[in-house]
Amino acid sequence: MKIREKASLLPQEAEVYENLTARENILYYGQIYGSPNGEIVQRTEELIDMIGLRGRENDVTKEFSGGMKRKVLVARTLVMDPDLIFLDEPTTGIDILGARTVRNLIKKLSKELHKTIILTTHDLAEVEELCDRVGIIVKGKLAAIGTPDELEEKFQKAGIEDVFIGLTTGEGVLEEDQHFPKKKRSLVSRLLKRSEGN
Amino acid sequence: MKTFKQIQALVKQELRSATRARYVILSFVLGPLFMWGIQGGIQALMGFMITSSQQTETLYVANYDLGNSRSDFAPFSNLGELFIQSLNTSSQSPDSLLEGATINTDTYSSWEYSELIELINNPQKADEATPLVIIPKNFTDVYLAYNSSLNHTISPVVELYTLPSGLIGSSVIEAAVTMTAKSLFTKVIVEKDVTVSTKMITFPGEEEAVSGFGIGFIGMISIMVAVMVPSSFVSTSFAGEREKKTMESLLALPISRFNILFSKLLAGMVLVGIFTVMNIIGLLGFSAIIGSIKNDSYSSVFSIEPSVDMLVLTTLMMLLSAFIAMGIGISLASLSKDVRSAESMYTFTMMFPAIGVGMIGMIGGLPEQTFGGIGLLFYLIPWTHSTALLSKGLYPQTYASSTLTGSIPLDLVLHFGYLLFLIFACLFVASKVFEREGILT
Repeated sequence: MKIREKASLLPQEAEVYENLTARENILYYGQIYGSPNGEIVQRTEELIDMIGLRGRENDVTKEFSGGMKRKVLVARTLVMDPDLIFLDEPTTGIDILGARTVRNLIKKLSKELHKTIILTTHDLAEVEELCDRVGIIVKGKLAAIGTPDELEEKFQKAGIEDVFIGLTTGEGVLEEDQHFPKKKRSLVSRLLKRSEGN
Repeated sequence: MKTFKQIQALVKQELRSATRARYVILSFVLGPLFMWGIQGGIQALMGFMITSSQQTETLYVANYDLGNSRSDFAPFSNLGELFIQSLNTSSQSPDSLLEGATINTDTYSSWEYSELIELINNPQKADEATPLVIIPKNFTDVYLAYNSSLNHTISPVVELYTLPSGLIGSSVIEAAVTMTAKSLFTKVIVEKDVTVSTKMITFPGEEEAVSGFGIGFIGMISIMVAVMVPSSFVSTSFAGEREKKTMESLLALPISRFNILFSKLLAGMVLVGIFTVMNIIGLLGFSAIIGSIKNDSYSSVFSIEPSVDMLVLTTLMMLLSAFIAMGIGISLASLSKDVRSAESMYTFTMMFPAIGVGMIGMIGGLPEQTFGGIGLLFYLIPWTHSTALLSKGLYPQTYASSTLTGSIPLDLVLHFGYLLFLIFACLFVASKVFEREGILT
């Protein structure tokens, strides 16, 4: 429960409450956290401005586009000003403009507000644009972790996409990664050896 | 304080969502008004059909009244015959429910009282002799003694025996005699002094149950709607959150699953409370509709005269029944993938027990009276206790001989306690089922 008070989660398939307005969606989550009502209201208004919903905040979200709904979801996730934010594919399934808005917001949270954000995505361009550190998961296991530059240097690739492809196919990947504890290193080693054998 | 705020927020959100969905307005507010209005229309139509029907029913009368054995009341020689005279007159009246009925005083005139009782208690032959009015031999004497006595402890009794399907009931008899009575004497008999003891014959030979049409009807409708109406809310509130993908985010918040469950139940009970109030309003409207029908005989049979006791007990019965239904419904909804499946499961599970219990309540009997010992199995269905609570609470004397514990007050405690126990049991099961809801599954 204490972790949930400090962290916030936006699942990939999350949806807004369609019978509530944008403001009510955000306020609702703030009230669940038990913050004083005045604080929640003020924070809600700030978020509405931050995510660009001013003018539509009193509209029922049933009428919103996918991008606008995603904005409401992001705002809802941020209402209690969490220290740690989990975003599971926040730009999946929304239009380009909406995705751009969400990315800009993530950048702002990270660079200006110094929030710790754990972002999961399949969009490697998004990774390069937004992420300070990258963890690459292959077959359910963490195969590599580091800054983009570190990974490119380590795996001798020109971009994160190539690093990822290399890790998933076993093509031209170095044998050891010193960032892993022995157990994980051995798993990666086994993966690499198996791919060499093929 | 934080928990209270969380629950408050959840309840407000549930109610806000529900009130903005059309189904709530339809189900919880307009539904009961519509239902009672439709029922009132049906009853009014029935009344029209009954009063204009060409089919006659034969009312058998056996008059054993020996007449006045007291010389100081000379004018009142045989009140039993006066009673029969009024029945005959009303059978020829166009406004009477007895219109066209044949008053047969010949068939059983030579039968002994015991022979008649044996006949009507024979399942194969009872319908040949019913409805049957028996005027006892001391009818006139008892009436005169009653009138002259300051205590009024004994009132003369006319016995009416009828089968559940029979149209002629005690109210019809009373109304029939009253409306055609020309003498003050006869009116006084029916309105003030005479007890028309209606004995509803039920087989196989169990004690008869006496409760008016009105309370049986209220019990049936109230149980059925209290059980079925929460279906849409429960399905939408639980399975609907999963279907609409809002559950996962909710479970990631710093609120316990039990509080989520409790809040949704609380919101459901608020809606059920609204529904109960609308149901009571509908019931009062129905009573007014029936009472406004310009046919004293019809309205005397079918009208409902709501008392404070009836309204309080009906409200309590509906709230308890709905709470249990919601507890069961939550468990079913947690097993369903979507709203439609949840509603289907709910309807399939609840409908038949609710209808069964409602029908038993409609005929005014308790399960053990209707089905004998095996009828006790009906008490496994929660809502049987609700109807029993209503019936025994309103008519303790009527059901005094049919108690489970030996006394009516203890029976009421038993039924109420069982319902409360079931509520907590359903909550416990529902909370365990709801615990299965996972995050990021």
